[in-house]
Amino acid sequence: MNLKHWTLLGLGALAIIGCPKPPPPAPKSEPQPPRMEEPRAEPRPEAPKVDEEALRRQRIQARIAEVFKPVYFAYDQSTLSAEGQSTLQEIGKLMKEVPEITARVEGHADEKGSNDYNLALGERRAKTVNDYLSSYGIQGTRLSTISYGEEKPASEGHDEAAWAKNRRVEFTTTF
Amino acid sequence: MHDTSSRLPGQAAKPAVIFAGIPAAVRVLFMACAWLLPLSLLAPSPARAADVVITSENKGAETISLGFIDFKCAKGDANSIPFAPHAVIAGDLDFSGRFKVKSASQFDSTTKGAFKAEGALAYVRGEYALEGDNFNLSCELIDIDSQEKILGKKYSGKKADLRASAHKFSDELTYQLFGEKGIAQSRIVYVNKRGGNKEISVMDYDGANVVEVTKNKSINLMPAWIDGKNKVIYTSYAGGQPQFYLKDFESGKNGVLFTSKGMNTSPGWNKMDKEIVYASTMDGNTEIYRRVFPDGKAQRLTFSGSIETSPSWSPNGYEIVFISDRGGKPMVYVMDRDGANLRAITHEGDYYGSPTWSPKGDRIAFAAMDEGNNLNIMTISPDGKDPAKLTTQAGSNENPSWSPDGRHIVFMSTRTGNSEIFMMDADGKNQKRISFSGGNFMPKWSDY
Repeated sequence: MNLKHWTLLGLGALAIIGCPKPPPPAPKSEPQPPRMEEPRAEPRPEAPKVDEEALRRQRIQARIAEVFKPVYFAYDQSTLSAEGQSTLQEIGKLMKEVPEITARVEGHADEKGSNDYNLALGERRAKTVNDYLSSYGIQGTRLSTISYGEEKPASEGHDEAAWAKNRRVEFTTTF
Repeated sequence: MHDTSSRLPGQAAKPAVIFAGIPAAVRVLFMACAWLLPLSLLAPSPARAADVVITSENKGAETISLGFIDFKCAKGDANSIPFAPHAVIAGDLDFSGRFKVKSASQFDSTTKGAFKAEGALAYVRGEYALEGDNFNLSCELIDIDSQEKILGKKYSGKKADLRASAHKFSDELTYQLFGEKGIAQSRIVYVNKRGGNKEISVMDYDGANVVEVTKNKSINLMPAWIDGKNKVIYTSYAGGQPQFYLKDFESGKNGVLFTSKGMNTSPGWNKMDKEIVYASTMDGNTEIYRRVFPDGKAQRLTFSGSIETSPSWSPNGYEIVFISDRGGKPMVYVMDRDGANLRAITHEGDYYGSPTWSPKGDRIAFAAMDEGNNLNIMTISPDGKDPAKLTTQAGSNENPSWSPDGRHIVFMSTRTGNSEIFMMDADGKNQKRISFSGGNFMPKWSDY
């Protein structure tokens, strides 16, 4: 073969192989996280809507259990402590977010003093909490109050530790 | 002090022992030292009698000595009933503080001597018969020397009513000798913890004959007698919010009395005007209201932003005593039945509760907190003077309630470690436990 033939062959070979590609441009800015290999989804029938709803409800129930904590009070007082206020702020936010939540605000007192006055004190505490939550713009129909006075203690003891646990407002929610 | 010599209105004179040498038409007043009179004066006329009326200048100060012979069981098995009728009567007489009872098993010359040594002028004897489901009971008050019958009463009925008949005789005896009604047939309504729930029960004033009024497994509180011993009003959470329920013992019915917004608690009965006074949050805040029983319109009596609760009527229905914290701490206040003339009657101390007006009108009992945060029962005059402390260093003592004759107070005490019901004289003496099952509180003493 003469030079002309080798050149043609070389060019032909190149045409078949193709030109080596230039390297791709360097990645921009911050390094990308390694891409996770996603499991390949099994082909499945149309998922029923209630699964998503059940999941959503589960998540909200969990948040309710977390957020609706008792609010505690000092002896003979119905004013909110800073901690009480922050508990109520979380409750207020959650109730605004999830309009289906209703709450019964239950006021209690420790056993010191008379049953009658403690019923009224429990009522006062429930009302204080109720008014605070209402100020978040939560509709009145979503909140109700009840007082148990000293009649439904959280702790049956007769010392300050027990009494502190009993001076409280608790919540019963529906969702 | 209170004059106990006057008759209750509408009562006829009753025959009693005549004293020779003193005209029959003249009512004889003799003090506790009557047994010092020469025995020759005590020759009763067989047919007629003059009145014997005791006056006492001080409540509970005057007593009569009486002999007491165990009753005979003339027929049937005495062991078939859980109590002896004479033990019930002797217990009533002893509790009343009006009598010094000297007991014996039979009357003979030795007994006669023993009775007279105690200063007794008369003795009680009787007998009963038990036939199947029925009883007959005969009780007599006999003059020691002449053996004349001063008083004789017969009762009969079902065995279940034997105890009540014994109590009836105690009252008839008290009225015969003192011209005043006895309290042996009175009852106590109270809250009783059963199976972890607060339920309402009633019992005889001596702790016997307990009857369950509620069984709703809810929280039931603050019972009060309505219309004598015929009805009981109470607050119950059975329907959700605390509202008033009424048990009618005559009809057997037990149900909602009325409902309102909020909660209704602390009822008090005014038998003069047939009204109830109570505390309610129907207008948002705990205030005092009044209604004609059973379903009159609510009349609001207090208008302060503070807590007003625990109302109780004066015996004439003109005034109401209650608790208010409008001054910063719960204190005892009095107002007219229309809410006017409202004033505090306690001024020192930190905490008062559950005031209740004596049926005699001259004292108000209430609970007052001491430095140890325990409550004690105190009494005071309605104008806030002459305070008297009736319990001390005995746990927490709450919810006093007067006997219908104003001579005794029933209350709750935690002195035994659990809430139990206790009684004492109006001056704090003779404190006695009458409940034993634990978790008994908020007692209220019935009318006669």
